[in-house]
Amino acid sequence: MDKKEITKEDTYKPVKYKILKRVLHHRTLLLGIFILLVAIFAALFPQVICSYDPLDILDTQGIRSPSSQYLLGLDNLGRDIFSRTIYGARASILVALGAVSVALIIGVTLGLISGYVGGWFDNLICRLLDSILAFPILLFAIMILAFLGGSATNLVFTIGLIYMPYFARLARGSTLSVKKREFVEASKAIGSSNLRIILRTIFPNILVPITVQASIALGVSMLVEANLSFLGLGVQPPTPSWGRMILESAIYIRVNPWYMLAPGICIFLTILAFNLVGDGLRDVIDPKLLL
Amino acid sequence: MAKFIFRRILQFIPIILLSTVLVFTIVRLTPGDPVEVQFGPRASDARYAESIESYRRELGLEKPIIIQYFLWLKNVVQGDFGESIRSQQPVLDLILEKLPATLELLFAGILIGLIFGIPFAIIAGLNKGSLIDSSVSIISVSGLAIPGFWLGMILLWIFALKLKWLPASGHVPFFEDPVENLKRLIMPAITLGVYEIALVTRFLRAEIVEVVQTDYIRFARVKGLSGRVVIGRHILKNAMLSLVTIIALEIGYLLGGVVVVEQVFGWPGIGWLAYQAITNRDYPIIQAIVVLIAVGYALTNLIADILYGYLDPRMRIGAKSL
Repeated sequence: MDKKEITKEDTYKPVKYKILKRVLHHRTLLLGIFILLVAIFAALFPQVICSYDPLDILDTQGIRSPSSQYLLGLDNLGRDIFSRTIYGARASILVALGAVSVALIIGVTLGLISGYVGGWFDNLICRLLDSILAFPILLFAIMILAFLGGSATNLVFTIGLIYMPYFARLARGSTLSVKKREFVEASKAIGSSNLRIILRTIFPNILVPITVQASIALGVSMLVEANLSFLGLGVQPPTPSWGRMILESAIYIRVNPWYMLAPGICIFLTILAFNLVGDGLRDVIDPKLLL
Repeated sequence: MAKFIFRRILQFIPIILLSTVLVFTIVRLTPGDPVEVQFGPRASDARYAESIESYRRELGLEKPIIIQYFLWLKNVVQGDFGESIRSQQPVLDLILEKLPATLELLFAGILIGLIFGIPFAIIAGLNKGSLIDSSVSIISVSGLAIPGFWLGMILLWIFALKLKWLPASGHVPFFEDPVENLKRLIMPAITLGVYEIALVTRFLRAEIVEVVQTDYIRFARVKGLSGRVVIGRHILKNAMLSLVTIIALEIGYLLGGVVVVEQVFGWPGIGWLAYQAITNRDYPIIQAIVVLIAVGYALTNLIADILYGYLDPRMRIGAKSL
């Protein structure tokens, strides 16, 4: 009997290829990714898009309507609105990324340990997390920044610490579910240390829900940052930030509505993109794929 | 049921106490002497020396930090949140004066969220995968992405400045002049309501889709029950249970959102009061508003939990393990 030659097509396709195929067929996810790529490009290379420095005073007369020279006009201090809008992406996106990173690192660590260890430690952590969750996010952030003062660093740590309980609860819930699985029992049976079990066995298996939540968290963090900047508690001038630009534009709406519209459209599109990516990832990373 | 309520209340108390510890700690973490920070430039003015000294004794700043916390907590429980640094008025009186306007706005925001959100969710949930479902999803996702303050400013620009249909700011009590009250209420209520519509649509639609896929709905259809009966008696009745949780979620968002929306529209509620306090560094007011809102929010969640337990016996049985 002739032996059939085994070709590459006969082998089992890894889960990541299935996920990639689903991503490429998910229209709203692709739209979200596209918008985010544009926003990140604007944040990293604004000088490629803009003709003017966002801090340069181009006309001492102040506010100007859009013209052939200044695409969206000038703000109250004579600075180019288009340049400030593009440069504003940096502050907003970096604060959101920084805040979610802080929330992820602290939250997931706490949640993993709390879920794995259990007992009185788990109860204590849960009560502490609940006490933070008792405050609406924005209100708590307003209170902390009212006392500490607005700055990019304070924003990152404030939003990060306030959002941390959401990741902690998610990580804890996922850990409680995963630690009952047979492969964790097997790791314990062969004498693996607790640290090894947490890092090498449990952590990779809770990454999926955390990734989805991280994307949604980026949208929430950006919305909170925009609100705080609008209240004067965000990134301080003269650094451009979208929320602050909307605050400053309030009395000039009649003269140049683009001063208010441009940063608002950017905030809306970027948060929409984060939400689309989060929802899309949730659809695409089906837990059944990983069984 | 009584045991369920008692268990929930037992969980509520430590959360509130820990929240007060958080607020107290954040205030004490403020760089510099808290009294001098609160008095600002007046701290070095000899005319305020006696007030500063008396305030320092009142706060018990020379005592250990734990004693200071219990002194502060004792005052808070008795309704004494101190006095406004700016106006010297009792903080609680200022808050109670502004509270009705905020409650009016919150109620209007929730109402708009439910009036539009529930029908959108039902239509989308019962027609999953259709063009209607996609359209509603787009509206819902977009609604969650619009910054409230920006939407408020757009509404002001169009309806107050360009068309001059509605007044730009201010508040007239409803019982004084209902028409003027509604004219001033509509824009801030819509600003808050848009996010609420998106929240309600998103969560209720997901709940309806989940209920539609259950075995008992499949059985109801197999039994030959009419579509109207299946939808009305079984699907919606079960899905609406989640409205209790959704409204509690709504209130959480609204309590943060009012600070911004009241500022945009000059609506004289506690959100507006909080913003003025932030600008003027009037810390007793900020502290008091945050503590009261945290207690209010926790109480809302407690009531939602208890109500959910009353409406859905499975929650009470499941909660025994908590």
